[in-house]
Amino acid sequence: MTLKINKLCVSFGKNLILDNMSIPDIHPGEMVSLIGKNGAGKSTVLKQITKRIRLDHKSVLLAGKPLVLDDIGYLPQDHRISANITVLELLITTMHIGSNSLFTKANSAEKALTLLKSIGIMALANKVCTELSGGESQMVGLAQAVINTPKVLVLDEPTAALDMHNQFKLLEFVKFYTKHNNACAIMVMHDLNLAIQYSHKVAALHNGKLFAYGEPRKIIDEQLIQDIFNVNSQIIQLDDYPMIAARL
Amino acid sequence: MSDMSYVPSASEHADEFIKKTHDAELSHALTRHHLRIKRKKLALFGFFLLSIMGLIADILIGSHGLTLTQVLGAIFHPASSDIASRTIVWDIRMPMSLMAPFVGGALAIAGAQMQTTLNNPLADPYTFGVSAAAGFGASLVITNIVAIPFIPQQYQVAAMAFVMCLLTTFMIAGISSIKRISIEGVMLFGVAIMFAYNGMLTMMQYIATETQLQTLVFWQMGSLDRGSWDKIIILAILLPIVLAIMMKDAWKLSSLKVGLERAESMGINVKRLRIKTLLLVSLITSLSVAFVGAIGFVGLVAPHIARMVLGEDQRFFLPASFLLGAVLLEFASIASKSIMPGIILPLTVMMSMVGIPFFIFLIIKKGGKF
Repeated sequence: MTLKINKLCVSFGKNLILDNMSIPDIHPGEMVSLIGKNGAGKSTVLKQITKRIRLDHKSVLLAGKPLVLDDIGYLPQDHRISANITVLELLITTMHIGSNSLFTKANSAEKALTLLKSIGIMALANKVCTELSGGESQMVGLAQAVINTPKVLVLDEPTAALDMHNQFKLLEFVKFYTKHNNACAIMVMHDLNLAIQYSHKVAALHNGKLFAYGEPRKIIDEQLIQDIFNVNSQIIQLDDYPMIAARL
Repeated sequence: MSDMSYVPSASEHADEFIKKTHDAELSHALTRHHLRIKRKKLALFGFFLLSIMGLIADILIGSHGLTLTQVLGAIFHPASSDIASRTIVWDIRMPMSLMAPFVGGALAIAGAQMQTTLNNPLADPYTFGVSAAAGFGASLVITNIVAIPFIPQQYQVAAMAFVMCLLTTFMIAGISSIKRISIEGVMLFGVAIMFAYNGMLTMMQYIATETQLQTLVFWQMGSLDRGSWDKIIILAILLPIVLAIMMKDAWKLSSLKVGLERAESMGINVKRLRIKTLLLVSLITSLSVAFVGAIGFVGLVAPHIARMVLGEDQRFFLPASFLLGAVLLEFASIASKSIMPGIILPLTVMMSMVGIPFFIFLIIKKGGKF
């Protein structure tokens, strides 16, 4: 179930956002982080993955076949949920998209609850979505993204609204999910340390092009950070883990 | 991540899994969820009973002091009841009273779906100028300026109202789809549309003959006494069809309310769903306005009460909005007959008395931000 992203081209007016950009094959179980400065085209890549399906069938392929929306679990950057429904109702609704019956499938509530339990947000099950905090919404958004067991997880800044504890909780779950479901995850990450820790591969984007791609420890170095972020940095080894610190 | 073992495998049923885990927290959450669903069903049943009671009370109340026995006799044994009672009940009261639940329900689901598809809590056919558009369309026919070919004379007003409704609804939908225009901006656009149509309506009144003017003014006020059996039959056939089509999309509409981007990523063709729903909204709004005139705020108040009581799972929200719209208009009808005995006050006045404070309450509650 390899994911192929080929020759994405996007422009808004005269601005070229993605310039014929391709990403090397993403294999099952892999987590790939897109890094780059604001406006580099990271979120646009993710939006294209979910949008391309309707536009043309050649750019995004899963196991050689055109990717369909059922294959995708998407967590958007805007994590607010504006409906007055409970978290459990939200998940049940997501499980029934495309269904013409008003009745729920057997055990749908139970399945949704077991998922919430596995993410560690069971306490939110009967909470109304509009009353969730930013971080809670983000975690619920992740549950919504995986409830239909998609093969491709598309996560736009998944840790943006989260505290340190929940950042790890979310990423640990994504790691667990991709491993156990033979799925892959492609996510926009701003925190390079988290990207190093949780990605099998990193795609560094610069001016709408793929600047570098590979294992995070191999490609993320002071030079790359200087080139794409224009930041002077130092990479320190801590218990065999590289830690990036900015040099001011 | 100690809880990872709780993820059920694809082949394992969740109930077997729960039994296996003996998870108290899980079963507690499940019980709460089932209780919530039960409460929703009970509330729906309660609204249904209330609408039936409202309908009966509306039929019973009237200026000709008929007794309860006379009214019931005329309904259930028309052959043995006196002609006067029979005529009052069957030709005057019942057509009026039966229009209330149909028109109220129609306007309420129109408002509910405008709020959902445009993601705007202040949307309603009246506040967004859709009713005014229907009114203007009708005025074009009443003043003999426009006649649609191949449409029978008695449906000309309804047809023109529908055309104007449709144009306006899609104009609003078009504006709403422009990302940089906020919800408040769309609201202001709706207000501008309402003023524009009202201005044009005044122009129509200015050029109308005396008889046409009377019809126009009376028509603008909104009154159930324009109800008739043939209109009731049309609504009784059309409304269940419209409601059924909307209910078929219930899951998709709930997801659309969750968020546009998420809905799109889940495979919902948002544009198609919006157009389809707004077409249905136009149809039922134009029919309601063409049949009984412009009645404001039902489409705003009923869905908000439904939302507060039942939430926005469209499977419950839509029928609840319909029933609450019916109840609201039935009670407005009762009040319009009871406040000044012998006089039936315009329904717009009655609904404004409830609707405007509610509208202000919504704005204050949300702090002017949506």
